[in-house]
Amino acid sequence: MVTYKFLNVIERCINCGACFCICKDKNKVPHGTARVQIVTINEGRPGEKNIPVSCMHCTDPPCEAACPVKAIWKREEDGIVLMDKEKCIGCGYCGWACPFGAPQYPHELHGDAAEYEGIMDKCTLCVIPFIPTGTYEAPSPRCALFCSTKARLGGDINEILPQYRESKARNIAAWQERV
Amino acid sequence: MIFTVFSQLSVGALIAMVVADFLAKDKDQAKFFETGAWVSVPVAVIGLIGILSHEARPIQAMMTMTKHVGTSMLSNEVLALTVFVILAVIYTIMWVLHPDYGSLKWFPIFPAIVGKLSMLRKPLGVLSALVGLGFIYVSAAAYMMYQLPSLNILTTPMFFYVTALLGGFTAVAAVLSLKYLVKKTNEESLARMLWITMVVALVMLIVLIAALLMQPGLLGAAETEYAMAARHETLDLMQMGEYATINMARWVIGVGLALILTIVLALPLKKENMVAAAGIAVVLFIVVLIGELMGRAVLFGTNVPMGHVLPNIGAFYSSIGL
Repeated sequence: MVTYKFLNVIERCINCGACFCICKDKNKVPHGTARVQIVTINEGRPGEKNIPVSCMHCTDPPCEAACPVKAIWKREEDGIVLMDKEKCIGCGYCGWACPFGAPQYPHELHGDAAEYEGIMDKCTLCVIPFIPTGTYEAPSPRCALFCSTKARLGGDINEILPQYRESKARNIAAWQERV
Repeated sequence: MIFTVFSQLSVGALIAMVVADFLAKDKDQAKFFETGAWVSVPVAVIGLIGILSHEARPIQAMMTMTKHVGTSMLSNEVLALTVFVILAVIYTIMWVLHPDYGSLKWFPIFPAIVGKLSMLRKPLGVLSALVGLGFIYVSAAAYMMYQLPSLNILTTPMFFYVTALLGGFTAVAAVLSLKYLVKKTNEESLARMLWITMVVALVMLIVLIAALLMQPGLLGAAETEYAMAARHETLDLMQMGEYATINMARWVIGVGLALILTIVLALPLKKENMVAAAGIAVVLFIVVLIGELMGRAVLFGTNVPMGHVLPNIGAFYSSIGL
């Protein structure tokens, strides 16, 4: 069975912003909203780390349990947590329930996007763009594909876990030497 | 903020009316207390408007919010409120359409039906009060999740129950006091209601003070680093940040002034100066309402969800010297 996940080799992330930019471009995410954001710890000091944070497509998603209108669900065939913008009422409860702060509530939207003012948006592994088209694309997380240092790994957990383990082992040692 | 304060106040107002129901010895006293029955449902409607107005799609929310009952605490909360409001509406109808003393006794057909079922009013009132108290528990549970460390503490249900009983009893007392100030009748009935209100308010203010004193201690510790970061940020916002002033004002108005007025209320009641007592009761409700709204603004305004801490975790690590 395929289970899509994200894994971050945080010692490799250089905060280049490529994941953020390609996500915006691919999914047409408007200004003020981000499906992936980079969190920097100890900025400018020894031990600085950058962490790309987005929906982690949890095994047991708290946002799904919290949603009062069943607008969020976990797709059985690949474990991707998706949301139905037509069902969402914009209560914000999933935003409180998510420990990563992944669900976003876009405001000041213009044009075609204005219809989705205050309606939840989050990473769908590039399956659903910001303005839903009514069809689901094949999961292909652009943030991971375009990551210049391969810090962000996204895909089937059985494929990316060995890469993650190897990369983590090599980079922890290098990172410890640096700091 | 509007939703929680007013929905809880509605529960308290209904409980106060159930107490008044048992206090009424005859039709004249029941007629005096009947005015208080107009408080609970309109206040609940304000609460419902409050919850719907902050949704992006209010009409859709009204129709679908109870879809995930059993799993989503928000659905459970809305369902519990809906059941309470239905019971409160029936209970209110049994007061205001009573064929002997109801304000709407001129209404066709219904007063005769209500008259035949009037012996069910007290049991229905008790049932509605219990459902209301259950609703407040569910409402508190909706905020008490591990992802909201600042609200996942004992003081959250304490604040909610205080709002219900303190706000509800003073609201009904204020309405009855206004009626007395206009009509100058039923001194004894008002005096009994005000004595009960005074005792309830005093107990609730002591609980409120205990909760407010406990809160910084409970926010000072946590099991995980993220929860600790969230709670520390809440404490900072509450004690030094943008909510420090409103928090202080809440202590002065919602606790100090309310406590003084509650104690002072005993003086005219003892001297049977009902005009002064009625005046104090009205002012007490206004003070309590302002205090509770400020308290709720602080509670929700300083709430830092775990998901919001993550982007600020760097500042947290810096603040503890890592």
